[in-house]
Amino acid sequence: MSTVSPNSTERLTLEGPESGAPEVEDQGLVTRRNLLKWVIRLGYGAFAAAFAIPALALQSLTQEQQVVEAGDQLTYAAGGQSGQPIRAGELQPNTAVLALPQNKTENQQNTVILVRVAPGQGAEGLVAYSAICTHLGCSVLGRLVNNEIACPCHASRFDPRNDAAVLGGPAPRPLPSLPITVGPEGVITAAGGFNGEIGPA
Amino acid sequence: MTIRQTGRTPGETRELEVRPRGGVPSARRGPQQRMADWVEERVGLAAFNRKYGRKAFPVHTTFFLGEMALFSFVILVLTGAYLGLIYVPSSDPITIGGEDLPAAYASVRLIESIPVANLLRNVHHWASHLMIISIVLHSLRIYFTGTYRKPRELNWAIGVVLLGLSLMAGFVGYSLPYDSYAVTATGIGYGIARSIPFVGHIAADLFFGGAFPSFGSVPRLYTIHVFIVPAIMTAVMGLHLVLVIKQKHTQPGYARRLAEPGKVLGVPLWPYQAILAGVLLMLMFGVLFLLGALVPPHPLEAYGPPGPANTAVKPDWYVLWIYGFLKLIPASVNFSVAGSTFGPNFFGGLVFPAIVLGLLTLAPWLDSTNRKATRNYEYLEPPRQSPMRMAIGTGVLVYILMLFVAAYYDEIGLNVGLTWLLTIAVPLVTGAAVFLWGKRVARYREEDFDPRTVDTPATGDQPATEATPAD
Ligand code: HEM
Ligand code: FES
Repeated sequence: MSTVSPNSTERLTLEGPESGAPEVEDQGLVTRRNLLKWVIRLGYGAFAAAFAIPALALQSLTQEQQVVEAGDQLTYAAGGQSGQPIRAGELQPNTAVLALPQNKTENQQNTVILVRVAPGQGAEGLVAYSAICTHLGCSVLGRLVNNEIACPCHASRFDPRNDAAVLGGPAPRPLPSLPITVGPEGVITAAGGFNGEIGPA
Repeated sequence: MTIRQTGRTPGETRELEVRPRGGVPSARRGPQQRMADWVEERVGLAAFNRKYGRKAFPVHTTFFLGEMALFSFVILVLTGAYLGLIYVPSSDPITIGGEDLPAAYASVRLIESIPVANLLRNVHHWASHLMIISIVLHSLRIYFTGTYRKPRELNWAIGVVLLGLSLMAGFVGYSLPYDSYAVTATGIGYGIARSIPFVGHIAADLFFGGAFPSFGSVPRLYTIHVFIVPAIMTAVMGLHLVLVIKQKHTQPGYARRLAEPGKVLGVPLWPYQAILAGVLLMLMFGVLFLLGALVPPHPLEAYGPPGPANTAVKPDWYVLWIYGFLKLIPASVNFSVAGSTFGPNFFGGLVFPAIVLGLLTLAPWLDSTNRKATRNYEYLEPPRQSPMRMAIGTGVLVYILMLFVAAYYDEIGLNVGLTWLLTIAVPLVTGAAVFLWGKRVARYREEDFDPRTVDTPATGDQPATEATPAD
């Protein structure tokens, strides 16, 4: 197998005459070799474009999601009573529950954690925050751990008594809070949207 | 001229035929052999066999780790193809028995309800663990015996690419069953991808098919998992193996005493190595099927369909170290450049693993013995011959183990500060101890193995050996 490979033969025939007359190329004249080089570069370019353009077309399909607004009634998000309206009196002091706005349960970014921080029947002592952790978007636990809101993913902790300020862990900012009002029979309704961006920025 | 040619060709053919079959004259051959001859005359496999079938494979337990990785991949492709026949790559809700479930989740539930499909799903899952374990052990073997050095630096780097690709395949695979675990874990991945400065949003939406979880996500992740990553892996594995053939195996040190330099001591690919490999493949099938039948690794009902109430998720061991680091990195590691944030998720979730894999890739260039190398390293080096390498290797391994501990720090009653201290101190102390111990026990020198200075041991019964010529 010691014959000259086709590659080296090719190089010989192509480079042979040219190395004798380098000035021709330097002057930027359209030699056959220059033209071929440009044709090859064009080929590479077309190849790259053929991938780049469809790649741009791969952009996201973003679903339209319904977000929580003033007037939405909060319902149990999980458990046996899932979908039932939550009544303010059903929450014991220092307990929490996960809630979703009625008819907007498809969008889990709407999940709310309701916490009763002080005894009471009405809106006093009741706070609501986004349940989507501001670290990487896990939903926080639906119960308090040592009277704190806890995220099971990377151990971020938030203070329900202090606008969900970060007490520890990697979360960069507090959970956005949701203004609520308590109507007749203790039905809880959102009085507006969240006061900040939900989840990780 | 024509006559001489026809006269010569059958003669040559006969010579080729007779040898492998132990001298049965061609006239007395049965139909099977005649069929083989017919193929041989047209395809000429004998020449191929002469060139590659005689390739020598050193026999050593740890030399099968790479093969185990390859076979795990084969098993993953086979079982994955079967799963793909039933699996529905869509998160659209469908109603089954009055329950609204994402189609992907419902289809995996269907897979679980068919005994054979359930078995193959479990085998697929276990095989993915086995593949990553094999790759990790394979690279540890190569690291600790110093065989990533000249001339095999490139193949080492290619191996790190394969490790990265299989971690990626495993991560994306987890999203497919679309249970609560899948959605939470993949959502974390999406959050990490978004944290890339400047291009994060575009990159994350491209990879995850929109803002995860959106209806574009599962088809996109599915195609990445079953086609794009395996196709790239196949090509890269091919390259890896071609280089192994081209550069030949390194061998255990004893080969110096038994074979001349430049010759590989081992069993020929055909048939002995092929038999050993076949036995290994069957053994792996056996173990994986047994495991798959007895231990379901990820039953759907363990986490249930995705919903607002989150189960605590921990990623699998092979990404748990990244998770542990993410948990430790403080939120204050955060600054802005030109309106784009460089935050903890970017550093912890992407920069940190990139540094680890990058340093791994660069090992051959960081190793000072290799930088000074004037010749090729063709033999395994006993690990204790290089205390520094042994110390760094164990230090890094212990560091990864400490990050596993960090992944659980809040559950085992540690606080962040103490965990930081431990993850840094324990690996350093272990590394230093190994180094000091290594200094005392390091007594081998390469020269000790020089065939001219060491007496060939009296070997009554030598292992079955074949030496292949240098090329
Ligand atoms: C051509 C190759 C492959 C095909 C066709 C394939 C196909 C599939 C399919 C259809 C699923 C979804 C069904 C299910 O979740 O049970 C799946 C899940 C999965 N795959 Fe693969 N796969 C391949 C290679 C790999 C590789 C190389 C790895 C990792 C190293 C891997 C790891 C996983 C994991 C961890 C899951 C989740 C299993 C679970 O549901 O518990 N796969 N794969
Ligand atoms: S997602 Fe909550 S701590 Fe990471």
